Amino acid sequence: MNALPLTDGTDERAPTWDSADGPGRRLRDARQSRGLELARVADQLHLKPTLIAALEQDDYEALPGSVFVTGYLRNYARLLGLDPDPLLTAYRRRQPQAEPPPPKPATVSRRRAGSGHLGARLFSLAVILALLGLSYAWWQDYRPALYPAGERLESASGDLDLRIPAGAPPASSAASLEPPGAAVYEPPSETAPEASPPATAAVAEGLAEAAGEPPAPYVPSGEPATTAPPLAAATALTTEASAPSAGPIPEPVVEAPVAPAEGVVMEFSGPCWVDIRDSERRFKLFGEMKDGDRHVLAGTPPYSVIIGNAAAVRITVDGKPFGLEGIARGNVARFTLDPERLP
Amino acid sequence: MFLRRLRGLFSNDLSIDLGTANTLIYARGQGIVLNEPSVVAIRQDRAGGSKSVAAVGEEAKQMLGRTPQNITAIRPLKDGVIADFTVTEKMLQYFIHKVHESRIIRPSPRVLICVPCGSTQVERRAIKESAAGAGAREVYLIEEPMAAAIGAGLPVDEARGSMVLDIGGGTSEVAVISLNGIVYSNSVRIGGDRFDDAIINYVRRNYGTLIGEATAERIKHSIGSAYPGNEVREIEVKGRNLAEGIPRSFTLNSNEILEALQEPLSGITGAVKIALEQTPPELGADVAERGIVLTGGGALLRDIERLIEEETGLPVLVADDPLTCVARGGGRALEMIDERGLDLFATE
Repeated sequence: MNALPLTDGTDERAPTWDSADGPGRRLRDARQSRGLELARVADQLHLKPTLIAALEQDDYEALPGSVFVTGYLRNYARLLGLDPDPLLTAYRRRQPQAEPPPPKPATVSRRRAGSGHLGARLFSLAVILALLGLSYAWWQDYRPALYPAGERLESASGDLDLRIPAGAPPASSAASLEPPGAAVYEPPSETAPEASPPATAAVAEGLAEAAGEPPAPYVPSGEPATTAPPLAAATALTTEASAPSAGPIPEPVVEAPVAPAEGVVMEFSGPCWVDIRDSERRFKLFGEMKDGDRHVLAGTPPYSVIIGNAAAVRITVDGKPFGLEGIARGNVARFTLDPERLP
Repeated sequence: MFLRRLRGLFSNDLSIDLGTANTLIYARGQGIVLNEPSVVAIRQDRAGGSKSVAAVGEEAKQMLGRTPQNITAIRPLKDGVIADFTVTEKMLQYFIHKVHESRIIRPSPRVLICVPCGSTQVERRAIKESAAGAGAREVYLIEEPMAAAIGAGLPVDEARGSMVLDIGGGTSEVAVISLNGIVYSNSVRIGGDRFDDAIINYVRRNYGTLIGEATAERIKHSIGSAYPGNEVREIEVKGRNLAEGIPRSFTLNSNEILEALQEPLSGITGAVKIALEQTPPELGADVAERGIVLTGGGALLRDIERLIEEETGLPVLVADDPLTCVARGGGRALEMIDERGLDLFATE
C-alpha cells in the first residue's frame, strides 16, 4: 500500500531550487521527475487534489492553518522521499507570522497583563512603595499635630477659610454695610503667609476709607508691627476697620493679652488636652495646651467640646464665666457649648 | 490569603502537563522551562522511620529499577492520574520551586494543570489539591486534548471540527473540538508505558529474556515503529536469560518491535475509529478534509501517522514539537482566558 517506489531519489535535488522560492516548486519538480500524477499523490495523502495543487503553488490562502500546511508538507516530502526540514524552513520564511519555531516562547505583548507580567509586577511594586511612602508621610504629619505649634497653624488656616462666609450674612451692626471683602483681612500672626501683608495692606487702605469712623471695641496686639514693619500703620488701621465686621460672631483666634473679650475664651492654667470643633466642623482646636495658653473660639457655634483636664481650664462666654462643675466627670468634660443658649 | 497574593506577584503563571512519564512546565513569557520524568525516589532508612525525598526527576529516573533497599523510586502517576497523592504533591512542589529557583520569596503561582478527559471527579480533585498543597495560589484544570489542540495551533475557536489525538505516557486521548469546546472525547489507557510493557513481554516470550523498563524504552526510541518501513534497523540489548539466570546479549530488529507493538497500537487506532464513528457528520467531514493531528510523546513513534492514515483513510499529521504541545497549549489557554475571558477550563 505504501509502495511508491520513490525513496531512492536522493539525487533528485533540483539544482535550480532555492529555498527562497518556497517549498511548492521543489515539491512539484520532485513529483514531475518521478512522473507522478497530481491525483495519485492526492490519493496517497488522502487529500483533495485542489489542496495539493495549492501546496505546489505556494497558495497558502487556499489551505487551512499553518499546522496543517506543515503537516501536509512533511507528509508530501516523506512520500517523495525528500528531507522535509529545508521545505519547512522555506515555508516558515515565506510565512513568518505563520508559526514561530516551537521552542521559542510566544512573547507577544498581551493587552491584559496577568500577575506574571513584568509591567504588572512593576506596577504593584510601585503601589506598595507609594503606600509605604504615604503612611510615613502621615506619621510625620500626625506627630506634630499633637503639639500646640502645629495646632496654631491649623486653626489659623481654618480661620482663613471660615471668615469669608462669616463676614457677610449675620453681621447686624452698621459695620455690616461694609463690603464683605473686609472679612478677608486676617490679623497677621507669625504663621500668616509671607505674601499676605502687602496684599492685606492694599485691601486695608481701601477699607479704611470706606468704613468711615471706625468703632474699635478692642485693639489687637501690636504683633503686626513685628511681621510687617513698613505696613504697621496701615494694618493697625484696618484691624480697627475690620473688627466690627465680626460683630456678634466669635472672633478668630487672636493671641493677645487683652482680658475682656467677646465670644468664648478659654484660658489654661495647666497642661490640658482639648478637642473642640464647631458645628460646621471647620474650626477645630485640638491638642495639648500649656499653662498660660489663651484661645478664643472661632467658627460657628455650637461647639462640641472635650476637655481632658477640666480643672485646668477657665471658660468665659462674653466675659461671663462658664462653670464646668456638674459637666465634668472626673477630669474629663464632654459637652456641647452654644453661647446663645446660655442662661 | 493576602500573603499568597503578594507572593504571587513574584511568581509566574505556570501551565503544567502532569504526565505519567514526563512532567512539563511552561512558564508564561518564558516557554518550556522544565521537562523532567515524573519519578520520585524516596529514602526510608529504617523500617518505620520517616521517609524523605531522595531525588526527583531525571536523577530519580536514573535510579528506577536500580535502587538499594532503603530507596524506592516510584512514578506517582499512573494512567494519567494520581496514584500516590503525597508523593505527587512533593514532586510538584519540587518542580514549582525549581522553576522559580532564583527567587527569594517562596513562589505562589497561578497554575493550570492538564487532566485526562476520562478522569473522574475524585481524580481531578486529587490533582487540584495536590497542586494547591504544592504552593499554587490558584489551580485551574483543563482537559488534555483541548490543551493539546491549542498547543498544536489548531483553529479551536472556528466553527469547524478539528480532531486531535494525544498519545501520552499513560493515556491516549482523542477529541473533536469546535468553537472552543470539546464535542467528543475519549480516553484509552494506552500510551508509551504500554508500548514498553509490550516490548518487555515480547522479549520474554520470544527470547526467554527479562529486560527492564528503561531498556524497553531505549529499544522503543531507537528502533520502534508503528508501520512497516523499507529499512530494517537493529539494536543490541542485554537482559537476564530466564533459563540460565545469566545476563545475555541479543539483537532485536524493528520488525519484531513492530509486531510487539501491534496490540497497544490497535487499541489506539480502535479509539480513533470509534471517535470518528461518534463524531457528528458535519464535523466528521471537516476532519476528513483537513486531517487528524497527532500530539504527545507517542506521536514521535516512527510512522505512527502512516499507521493511522492507512487505518482510517484520512490525512494524519504530526504537530510541531509534539511532546510539548499540551504544556504550551495550557500556557496559551491561560493567556486566552486573560485576554478574552474565555472559559476553557474543565469543571471539577
